[in-house]
Amino acid sequence: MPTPDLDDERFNNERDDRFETYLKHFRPLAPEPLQIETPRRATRRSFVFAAWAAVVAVILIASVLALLSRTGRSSDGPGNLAGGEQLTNQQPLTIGSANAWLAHAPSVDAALDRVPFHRQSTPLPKGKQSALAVLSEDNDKL
Amino acid sequence: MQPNSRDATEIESLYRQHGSALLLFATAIAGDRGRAHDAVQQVFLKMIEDGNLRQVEDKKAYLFACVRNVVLNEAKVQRRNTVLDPDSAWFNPPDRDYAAELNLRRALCTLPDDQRQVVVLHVWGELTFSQIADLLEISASTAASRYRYALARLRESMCAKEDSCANSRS
Repeated sequence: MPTPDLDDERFNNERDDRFETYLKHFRPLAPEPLQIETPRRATRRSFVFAAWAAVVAVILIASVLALLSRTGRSSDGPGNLAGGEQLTNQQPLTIGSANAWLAHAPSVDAALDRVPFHRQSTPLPKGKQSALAVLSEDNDKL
Repeated sequence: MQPNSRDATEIESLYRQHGSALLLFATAIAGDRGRAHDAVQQVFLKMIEDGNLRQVEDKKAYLFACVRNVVLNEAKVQRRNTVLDPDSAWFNPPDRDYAAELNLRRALCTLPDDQRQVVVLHVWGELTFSQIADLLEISASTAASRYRYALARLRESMCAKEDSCANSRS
């Protein structure tokens, strides 16, 4: 068995070391970020969800309160008329209800502002007239 | 066993620290960059799911062993021969010398599988021959001799194509 040449071996080792160093200058490409759901991220996500839920809840509560206060305000007006009569857009304006309205309103202007006027929502058929128009014509003749 | 946030942080840290070398190692076995990436991700996701990292002493060697097992199992399931894809880059070359990067990649592809694995594990994975021996189930002296053969072939292959060994000589 031949004796190894120590000089050659040392030279080879040095050459290998240098080549290894050269190879290490090439850095492997980094992988894409790890697609994991860590507990920390899950906690952050649940916190965001809770925050959004709180915001939605606050908006809902505010809407309900606004609706309730509006209803209460409207019941303070015509609803508290004498005899418990209510003048709403759905009811016709009668002399009695108008009197009651005027009696309890702070001023005439305020009462008139609150009187509901109905608009003729459905147009009359052709050739027909409203009773109010006919009566006004009769008044003119008289 | 579910991992706590400390485990998850440690796993993320290991991924940042060894992810590149693990991906390179997986690519060197699988040949395909996408499959290699899937294998590495799978290993880390499983680790997070099981939370068994605390029992491991040599975490780095363990990660390389896991990646190797996943790649080989997947290759077995798919019953495909490994064909190295020479078109996708594996390295950030020094001084943006992309020709040298291609040269190195092609030289690595010409190596036999066992030699290529040893080179990648020792040079870029920074594993000792003893760790490589445990991982590949060979003796440490076999790992060392495979490494020397591989290095000689790499040098020969790279120097034959262009004078990219000039830097290593200086």
